[in-house]
Amino acid sequence: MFWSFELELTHGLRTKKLWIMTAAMLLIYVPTVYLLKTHMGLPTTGGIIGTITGSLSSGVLFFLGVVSIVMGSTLINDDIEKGTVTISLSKPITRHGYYLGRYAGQAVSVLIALLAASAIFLIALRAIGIPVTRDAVVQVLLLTLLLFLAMAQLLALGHLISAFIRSHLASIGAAIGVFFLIYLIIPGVITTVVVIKSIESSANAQTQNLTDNTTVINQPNYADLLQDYYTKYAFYSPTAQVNVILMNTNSHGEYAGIAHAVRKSWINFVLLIVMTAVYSGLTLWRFRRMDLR
Amino acid sequence: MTAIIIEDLKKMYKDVKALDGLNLNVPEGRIYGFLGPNGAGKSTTIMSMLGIVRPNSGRIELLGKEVFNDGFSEGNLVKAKERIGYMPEHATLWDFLTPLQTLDIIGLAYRIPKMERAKRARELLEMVDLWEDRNRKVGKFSKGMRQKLLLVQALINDPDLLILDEPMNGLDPKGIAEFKEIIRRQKDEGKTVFFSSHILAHVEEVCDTVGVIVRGKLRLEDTIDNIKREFLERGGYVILVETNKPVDFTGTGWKVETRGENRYVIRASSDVRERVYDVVSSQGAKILQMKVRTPSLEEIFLKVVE
Ligand SMILES: Nc1ncnc2c1ncn2[C@@H]1O[C@H](COP(=O)(O)OP(=O)(O)OP(=O)(O)O)[C@@H](O)[C@H]1O
Ligand SMILES: [Mg+2]
Repeated sequence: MFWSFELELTHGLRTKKLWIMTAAMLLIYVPTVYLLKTHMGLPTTGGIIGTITGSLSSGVLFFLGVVSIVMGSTLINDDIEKGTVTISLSKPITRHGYYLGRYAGQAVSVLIALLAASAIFLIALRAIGIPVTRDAVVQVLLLTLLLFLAMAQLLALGHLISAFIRSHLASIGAAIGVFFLIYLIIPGVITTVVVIKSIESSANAQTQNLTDNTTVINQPNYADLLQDYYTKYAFYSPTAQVNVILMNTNSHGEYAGIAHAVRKSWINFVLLIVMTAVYSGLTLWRFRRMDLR
Repeated sequence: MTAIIIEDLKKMYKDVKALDGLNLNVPEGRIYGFLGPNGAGKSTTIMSMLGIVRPNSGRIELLGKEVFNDGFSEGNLVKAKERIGYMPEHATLWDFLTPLQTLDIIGLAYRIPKMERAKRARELLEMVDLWEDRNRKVGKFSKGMRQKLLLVQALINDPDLLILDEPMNGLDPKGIAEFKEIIRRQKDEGKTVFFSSHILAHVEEVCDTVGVIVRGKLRLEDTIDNIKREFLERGGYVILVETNKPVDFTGTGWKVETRGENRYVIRASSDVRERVYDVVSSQGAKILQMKVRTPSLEEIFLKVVE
C-alpha cells in the first residue's frame, strides 16, 4: 500500500490539476473578502466563513467537485489502457494494497492543494489588513477538512466509474454526467419537492396567506424538511451533504461554527464518511476480479 | 524444484476461449522458449501466472508456491513475485519518470534499500547503454530504448525466475546481442528464464527447452534436441543429391522429388546418405554433390501449428 501511495503522490503533485484547483479557490476567495472589508469594515470570523461558504455554493464547490471526480475517474482504466498496471502488479504488491495506496496518494494530493489554498487565503487576509484570529484559523481549517471529506468521496465515486468503464475518455464523460446529476439535478428536484411540500403543509395549516415563495423559505420547517430530504434522498451526494452541514453553522441567528454544524447534522457527516467507504469498497470488490489487460 | 507448474488452466475472456486446459512444466535452471502463433494464448498464460489476468480454473505453482488453485492466494503470489522478474509485451512505463526514477520506484516495491537501489540501477542502465539517458523522461524514449529499460526493470531484484513476453521486439542487433548475453548470464547463475517469442532463430540459439501453444493448449514441450530428433524420425530427414546422369530411386521406400536435371530431394526417416551412395553407384552414376538439410525450428514449428 505504501508503495503505490508513493507512486501516486509523486505523480499527483506533478500534475497541474491540483495547482489550478488551489489557484481557482483563491481567485474566488480573496476578492470577496476584500469587498467585504471595504464595504462593511472588518469582518468577523462568521463573516469570513460566510464569505467562503457563499463562494462555495457559488462555484468553488462545483469546480472542486468536478476536478475531484474527474481525477478519480481515470485511476483504474487509464493504467490498464497505458499498461503500467501490468508493471506495478508484477511486483510483490497485492491488488487491494495497490488500489488503497493510490487512493491515499490522490487524497493526500487533494488535501495538500486544499490546505495550500487555505493557508494562502489566511496570509492574504492579513496582508490586506484583516486581523486573523485563532478562531478564524480553526474555522477555516475545519471547513477545509469538511471539503476534503467531500472530495475524498468524489474521488472514490470516480474510482467506481473507472472500474466499470474501460475507456478513460468515456469514463471522464460519465463522471461529469454523474456529477451534474448529484450536484445539480437531484438536489434541484429535491428542493423543488420540498418547496411544494412546504407550501402544501402551510396551506393545510392555514396559518398564513401564501402569495410568494419567500414566505415559505423563511418558515422554520422548510430548512428542517430540506435537511431531512437531502439526508434521505441525496445520501450518495457528498456535495449535498456538505451543503446541509453548512446550513447549520448558525444558531439562533448567530454564527456558531463548523463544529456546531457537524454536531447538529451528524448524520450527514457520518454519511460523508460511510458513503466513501461504500464507493471505495465497491471499487475494490470490482478491481480484485478484473483482468488488467 | 520446478520453477513453473501449470495444470489444466482455463481462461475465457467473455466468449473468447483463450486457455483451454493448458499444462506446462518448467524445471529450474532452464531457458524455456514459449512459442505459438498470434492469439494462441501466450500473453494470457504469462499474465495469469502473475495474477494480472484472472483465470477461470486450474492450478499454478511458481517457485514451489501454489499461487492459484481455482482462485488466487494473494499471500503466496506476493511471496513468489518477490523472486520473479517480468517484462511485459508492450513497452509500458511511466512517461513522467526518468530511467533512474523508474528503477528506483521499482526497487522500492521490492523494499531494496535506497543505496543498493541506486547501485543496482547504475549497473543495469550501464549494461544496456542507457546510463547516458538516465535523466531524460521515458516519455521521450524510442521504442527500443523503452524495451531495454523494460528488460532491466525486470532484473532489479536479481530474480530466480525471469518471465519475458516477446522480449526481442523492437531491439536492434546490438540490443539483441545484449539481451542474449543477459539470458546466458542468468543461465550460468542457475536462474530460470521463461520467454515467449516469434523469432525462432533466436529461440533456437538461446533456449534449451521449448513449449508450443496452439489455441490455448500445449501442443509440444521438450528439449530442442529431442524435438529435432523426433521430427527427423517422422520423415523430416532431407537429403539433396546431384548426379551426373538420371538415377531411379523406386524401391527404396523414400519420398523422392526431382528438382531440375539430375537433382533429387530425398526425404527419409534417418540418415540414409550411405545408401544413397550405394543406389547411385549401382546404377553406374556418380554423385556430384550431396547435402543434408537439418530442419530449422521454424520448419518444425510451422508443421506443429498446422
Ligand atoms: N482483453 C481481452 N478481451 C477479450 N479477448 C482477449 C483479450 N485479451 C486477449 N484476448 C483474446 O485471447 C486470445 C489469446 O490472446 P493472447 O494475447 O494471450 O495471445 P498471444 O499468444 O500472446 O498472441 P500474440 O502472439 O499476438 O501476442 C486471443 O484470441 C485474443 O483475441
Ligand atoms: Mg502476446
